[in-house]
Amino acid sequence: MCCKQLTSTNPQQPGQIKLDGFEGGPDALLLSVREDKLSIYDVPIAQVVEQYAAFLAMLSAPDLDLAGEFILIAATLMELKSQKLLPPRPRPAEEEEEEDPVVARQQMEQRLEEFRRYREVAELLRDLESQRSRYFTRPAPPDLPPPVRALAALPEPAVMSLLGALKRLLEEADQAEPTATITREGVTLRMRMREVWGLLMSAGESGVAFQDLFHHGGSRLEIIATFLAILELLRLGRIRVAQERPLAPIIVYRVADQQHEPREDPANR
Amino acid sequence: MNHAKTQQTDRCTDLDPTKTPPPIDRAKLPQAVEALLFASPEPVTLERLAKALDAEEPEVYQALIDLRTSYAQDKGIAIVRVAGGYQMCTNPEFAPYVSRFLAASPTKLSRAALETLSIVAYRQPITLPELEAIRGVDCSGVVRTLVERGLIEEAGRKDTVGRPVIYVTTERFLAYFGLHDLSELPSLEELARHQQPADTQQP
Repeated sequence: MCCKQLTSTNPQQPGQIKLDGFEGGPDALLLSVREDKLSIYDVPIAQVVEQYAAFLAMLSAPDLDLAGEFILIAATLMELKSQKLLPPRPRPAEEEEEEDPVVARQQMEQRLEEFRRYREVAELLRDLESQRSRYFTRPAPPDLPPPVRALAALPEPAVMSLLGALKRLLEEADQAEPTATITREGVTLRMRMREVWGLLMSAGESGVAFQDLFHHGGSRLEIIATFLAILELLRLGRIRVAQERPLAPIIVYRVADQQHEPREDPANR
Repeated sequence: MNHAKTQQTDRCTDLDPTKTPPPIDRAKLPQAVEALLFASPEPVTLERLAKALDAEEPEVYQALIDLRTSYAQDKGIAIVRVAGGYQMCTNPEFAPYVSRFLAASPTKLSRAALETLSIVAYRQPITLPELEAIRGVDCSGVVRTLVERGLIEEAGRKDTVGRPVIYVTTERFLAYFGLHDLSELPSLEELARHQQPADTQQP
């Protein structure tokens, strides 16, 4: 394997701490103390903090991850040192059981030991990542996002059955429209798309029956606008339609696509 | 031959993914499996292959073995067993050329991301607060990134105060690291054992 790999223990990496008898990253410093390779008495914490703070200040952009980790390590070092320096405080007998410094220390050590193993796994994963990165695979076709492929597996009502459903709705609308008074409504496709999308968003996984996306007693214009809105959303791949079996109610679902989630409103595009 | 030809034209004129295709010629199972693996951007399980071909799993498995044997020799493409399935990849031998050709150096995960993934892999299902207790730092950003990359996913909520979301690793996680399943990772006990002798040898 010819891959160059940067690991946390790489000595060329900046952010190293230099003390008498120690040189390395802050995590390595903590490890050395933990494993008694380095006495905590020999670790001037102020100096450690100063050096690392200087390194952090040098970074072009503040790295909160690095800084946060360092604060944790520095705090742990201080805790260890204070435990060594201060005489154990005598406590009442009952309390002693709960806050036994030995037990607390053991717990902390256990936790650190566990974390150290995860770090080791992280190193292993990094190796695997770089090995695996030498195997190139075909990228997912950009025009076929997973939800659309899932749609293909569903029994999909043909456009004919959508049109049939539209015809029924229009017939109902004809009955609901007894007079010839025509008031021009401000119905826009965009409004309807937003409305349909809102309904589907609140319905979630279970979807909404095709008919329920239309206003009861709505005018032809409204129905047609809503129908066009559904077609438009379908075209954009934002929704899908399905039917359990022929003649079953047509159900409209929103496509649960994480990429689309933040842009809630397709009509605004 | 004639029959095959008409079938061919049939397929050309109306390709409808919801329709059942004509039964596969058993002698051509390896080639059919090859076609499916080539077309898929992700590892395909034996079960999915069998379903797509309307064939029994044992015969598809045999076809897969035949196919892999023919790919085992000097080829530019390798068929690897990963994430519980099979996937076509370029032969790693030619990785430097493919990399230059695609002008793509794969984005590597940060150390924080790898650590978080390690913890999720071993402690799943795990909540964000549990993760943060182990890492000792805020993990929400890392977790969001890992979810966006499809390496971990939400798997419901934990029945406890605040009902926090629980996370698990995904199949893409396995594929990303070239693992067949999670048991390929060393156990934590094994890691502890490895650590001991290494320590004593250090000066």
